[in-house]
Amino acid sequence: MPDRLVPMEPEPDTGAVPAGRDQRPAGGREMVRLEGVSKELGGHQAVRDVSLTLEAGKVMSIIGPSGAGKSTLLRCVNFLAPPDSGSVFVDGVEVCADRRPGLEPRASELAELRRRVGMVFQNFELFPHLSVLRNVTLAQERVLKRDRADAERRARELLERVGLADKADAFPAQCSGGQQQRVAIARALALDPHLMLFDEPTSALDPELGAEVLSVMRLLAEEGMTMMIVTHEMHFAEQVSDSVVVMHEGAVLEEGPPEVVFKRPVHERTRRFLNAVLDR
Amino acid sequence: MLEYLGPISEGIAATVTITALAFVLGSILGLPLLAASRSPWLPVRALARFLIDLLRAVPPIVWLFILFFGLAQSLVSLDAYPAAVIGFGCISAAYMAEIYRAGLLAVRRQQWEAGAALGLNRLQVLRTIVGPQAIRVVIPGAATWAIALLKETAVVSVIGVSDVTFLATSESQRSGDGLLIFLLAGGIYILMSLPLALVARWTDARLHRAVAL
Ligand SMILES: Nc1ncnc2c1ncn2[C@@H]1O[C@H](COP(=O)(O)OP(=O)(O)OP(=O)(O)O)[C@@H](O)[C@H]1O
Ligand SMILES: [Mg+2]
Repeated sequence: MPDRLVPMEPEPDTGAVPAGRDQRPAGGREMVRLEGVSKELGGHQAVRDVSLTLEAGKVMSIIGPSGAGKSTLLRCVNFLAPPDSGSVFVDGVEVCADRRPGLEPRASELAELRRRVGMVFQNFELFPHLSVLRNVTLAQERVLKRDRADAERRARELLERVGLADKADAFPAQCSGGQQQRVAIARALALDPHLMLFDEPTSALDPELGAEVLSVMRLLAEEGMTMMIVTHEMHFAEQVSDSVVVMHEGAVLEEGPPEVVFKRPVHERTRRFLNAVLDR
Repeated sequence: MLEYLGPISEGIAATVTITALAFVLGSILGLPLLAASRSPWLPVRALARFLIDLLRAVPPIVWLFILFFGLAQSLVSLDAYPAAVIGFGCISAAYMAEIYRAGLLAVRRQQWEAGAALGLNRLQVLRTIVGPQAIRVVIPGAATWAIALLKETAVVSVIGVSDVTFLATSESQRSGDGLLIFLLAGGIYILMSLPLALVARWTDARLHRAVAL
């Protein structure tokens, strides 16, 4: 039984102990690069000229007030919300945004991009008509063309690792919110993504159930998954991330290591936001 | 009483087959009509919307007259029975397109996104994720339409198709016992629609249990 959520990368192993944040080799390979990404929604500039990079195995938290464009930015990464301009590079695949008819990215480009990116939504978005197991196997069969037996083997491994082996045959409605979100994580991981996007994965959950989800995410981070996490869980962001991005009115206001952004933010606006969320 | 029941019930075949054929035709033609009404291309979308509204706005009897007395007699010769099937088939297509649309709209938009994020293409998302959830809404709507259609087909008697209503009319003219004959005809319509209603209830309950949204 494999004890990892993420298949082992062919890189030097530090032994039985999973590589923690600190043991990670510095100066790694570039996994994500956004260049000048902008997106208008209903006449409102939701994302303004955002450029970011993230190295393989690093965790980035995106914080900021409601309406800052965090979700929209995340959805630009896998083109669920196709940017109006700019480019998105993930793990060797670059897609340039263009909304003009005929010049839009080809379906095959988007498929290549999405194959590398897993996404977890605020409201889980499990498929309610399918069992937990089928939720995790469906895309493996349709997208990766795995056969049923392989897909089920991988699904059961992942469900076991997120603590839900006994829920394989249940339907989503029979699971708690925390369990549904862990199934959603397993569903995304089943496609062996190289980047995981999380949009407020615990916002719809009671703190107790949210904690189950956060511990799975922590495990993922320790195993070296590259992650971009939109979150209001400041404590979690501080502990787990390598970098924190503060967004305001669609733009990146401030970016830096958690020690700096949380303790000595440069911008007054960041300070006010942090005071508002931390001193509740 | 039985002396009337025999002749009237000979019309059951025509009523049931016209209803069934028109329903199947409509269920099939409703799909391209739905697709066209959601086309990204404005002229296609507008034409489809216009057709859907037109087919539903004009009473079926008028469509039948247009098909049977208008088109059929001038262009091609069309018998009353196929004219009835084609007419009600087209009307059904418009209603079914709307029923399918309601089914799609009942599924959260985010389910499309969850499928797309997993790398499924639109057709795959429709087939495996959105369609199966939409069916929950489509089946009761389709059953309601099928029952309405069964009753609506009574107007085919005016173009001379020997359905239940046509035979009841001629039987009552022959015998003069209109009340009893039309009560019998009404009873036959109820009996014909009963299985439809039961099937609708049963599948609806089953789907609700399986999906439990
Ligand atoms: N479909 C839409 N049409 C119009 N405006 C939209 C749409 N979706 C989002 N917006 C607007 O775009 C801006 C950014 O929204 P977004 O959801 O990305 O913010 P967010 O930072 O994720 O906020 P929250 O913390 O509340 O989730 C907001 O001002 C929002 O009102
Ligand atoms: Mg958001």
